[in-house]
Order: sequence, then C-alpha cells, then structure tokens
Amino acid sequence: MCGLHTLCECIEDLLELVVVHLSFLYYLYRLVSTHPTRSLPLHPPNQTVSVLADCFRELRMSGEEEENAAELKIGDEFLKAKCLMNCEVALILEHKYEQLQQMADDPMNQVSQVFEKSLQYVKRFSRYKNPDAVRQAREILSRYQLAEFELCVLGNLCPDTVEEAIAMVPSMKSRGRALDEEAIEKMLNDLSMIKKFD
Amino acid sequence: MFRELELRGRVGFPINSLDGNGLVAHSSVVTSLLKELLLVKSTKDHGYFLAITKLKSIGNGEIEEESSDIFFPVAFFCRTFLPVKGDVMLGVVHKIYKRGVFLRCGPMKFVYLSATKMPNFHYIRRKTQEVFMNDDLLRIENGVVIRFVVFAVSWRKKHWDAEREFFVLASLEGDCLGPVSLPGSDELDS
Repeated sequence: MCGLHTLCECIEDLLELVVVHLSFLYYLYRLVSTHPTRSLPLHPPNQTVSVLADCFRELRMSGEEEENAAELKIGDEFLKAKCLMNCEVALILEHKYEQLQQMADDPMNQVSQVFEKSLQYVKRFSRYKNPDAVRQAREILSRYQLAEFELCVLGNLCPDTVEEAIAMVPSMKSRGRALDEEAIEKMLNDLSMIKKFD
Repeated sequence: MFRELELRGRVGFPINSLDGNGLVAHSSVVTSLLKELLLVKSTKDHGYFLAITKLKSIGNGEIEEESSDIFFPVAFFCRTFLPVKGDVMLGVVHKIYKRGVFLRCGPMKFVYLSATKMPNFHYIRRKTQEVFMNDDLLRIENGVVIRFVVFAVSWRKKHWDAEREFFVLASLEGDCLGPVSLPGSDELDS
C-alpha cells in the first residue's frame, strides 16, 4: 500500500514536472516572439499560465508611467472616485442582502457570484462592525490630509505601529508631506480606541 | 480597493414595450440597468461591479434606427472593486503548488503568489499535506490569510473558461507582509 502511494506520488510529480516544463516553454515562446529572452520564474500547471505571463510582459512594457498605488501613481479615474473601506462596503452590501431576503425566499439566487464573494470578503475582513465605529474611523483618518486611497488602506489593515503603517502606505512619507511619525502614532492610537469599544 | 464612482450608460427597450404615453417605467430602467451590470460583471478600468447605490438621472430616449429600439442615457453611482498595483490586501490561500499558491481575495479568483515572491519561504510536502514554511515556522497553507501587495494586474475579456476576470500577481516582498492571524471566523465558502 505504501509502495503504491509512493508510486502515485512519483507519477504525480513527474506529470507536474512535464506540464510545468511545457508551460515554461510556451511562456518562453510568447516572450521571445515580442521581447528579448530573459530568465523567468516557473509557473504552476494551470490554464492561467499564459495570462500570468502577460502580467509580467505588461509590467516590463509599461516604464516610467507605470501605475503604482504605493507611490500614489494611480490614474485620474481612481483619484476622482471615492475609495471605500471594507467595513463601509460591508454595511452597504449587508443592507442590500437584507433587502433581497425580504423580497425572496432564497436571496442567494438573486445575487451574482461577484456580490456573494465580495460580501463574504468584506464581512470577514472588516475591522469595524458597528456603523458608528465605521463613521468614527473615517472621521479620524480624514483629519490627517491623506489621499482617499491611503485612508482606505489604513482603515482596512489597521496597522499597530508607525513602522507598519509606513510599510503599508509608503506614500505617506513621500512628497514632503506634513505627516510626521508623531501624527501617524496619534492617528493609530485613535483608531485602536475605536476598535476597543466596537 | 473598493470604490464608488459615477458612471454613464445606455439602457435599451424595444419600442413596443413603451406604454400608451410612449414612456417607460422608472423601475424598468433600473431593473434593466442592474441586469446589464450583472452581465458585464467587470471592466478593465472600473473593476468588478458590485451594486448600484443611486440613480442620478435618466435622459430622454433616443430611437436607434437599425434595431428600432429606444435607448435611454443613464447616469448612476456604483460600487466597484478594482485591484491596483501597489495595493496591500488580504487574501485566503485555496490552492498550493510547488512553485506558488493561489489566493482568493474579494470577487477575484485568480491571485497568484509565486514562490519567487515569497522570500524565505520554502515548499515542504509531507505525505498529502503541502505547505510553505519559513525559518520562523510561519506557515502558508490552505485556509491561511495572507497580507500581500499587488505586484501586477491583467484583465481578460475571455481566457479559457474565465470571462471578464482580473488576473493578479501577488508579492510578499516588503515589510509586514505574509501570513496574518485575524480575530473571528476563518470559514469562507469555497
């Protein structure tokens, strides 16, 4: 029995190796057809290999104007849109789900998979559950001259220390901002107080 | 990142669906718009469409000669989810391979974290269990929540059986990234 199990494992590894090798060759072919060859990471045996390869290619093709939220280099559309924290989205989507519950016996039949997965995600990863706490969190973060994007990342991840906050939102310390470490620490302390009473 | 933005679109109705006064019910326009967004699911610039929050305006109908349908321009506010490079997010591991793991994050199904982007983590296989572990014995295995940074994003209208989906590359290169433990239930529907 052990021998059979080991044999199956070996065959599985061999198959995975063959598929990965073929996938790697296909990825190389796609890359050589448009760009000089470079060393590339291997990918798992999966249909998404060619798309993941495209991600790398697009990254190389983009250059200096490349979008990067860590440096607040995000498109105008993004800057115009209001960003939302997970806890804010949770309140809205839950409310919508409750409306559907009142209208239909099985509300899950009425919603798309995108809605369902998003609702599960924001319910699980909301740092604040109470609507007042959510409002207070946004109010506190709004006092510190943060961009909408930065405000939401901090509200979603709730870093414990100043170093953690700067690691997650590096743009806070760039561009000659007036946000010093003392201000960041005060902001984090105020946010942690909300969590305690949420 | 979740966002709320104002969008403009067009909603069409067959001419014979108009009432005696040549009008269409407000609720019909909203329903049609919701169905349209459900079908569209996501776009490269706006992300996944989650919900319409407010209908701002419905313009005057315009008849399209080719199809004889009447189209109404609509302005509305909508909640969307758009992955963007540099964003730090949370995801849950749902598939492990020797050279990387796949995460689920919000409505996204294809978030790939390559082993080359997991500094100091090594692949370990014990009988049927597969896990990535580092020297501090932190584990990346099925069901674990990972804090990652978005390394690259690609949107595809159609790829194999995936339609209108975002494909994201994740990275743990940076401070405060990796497996995290959060209070609350770890259950997540598959």
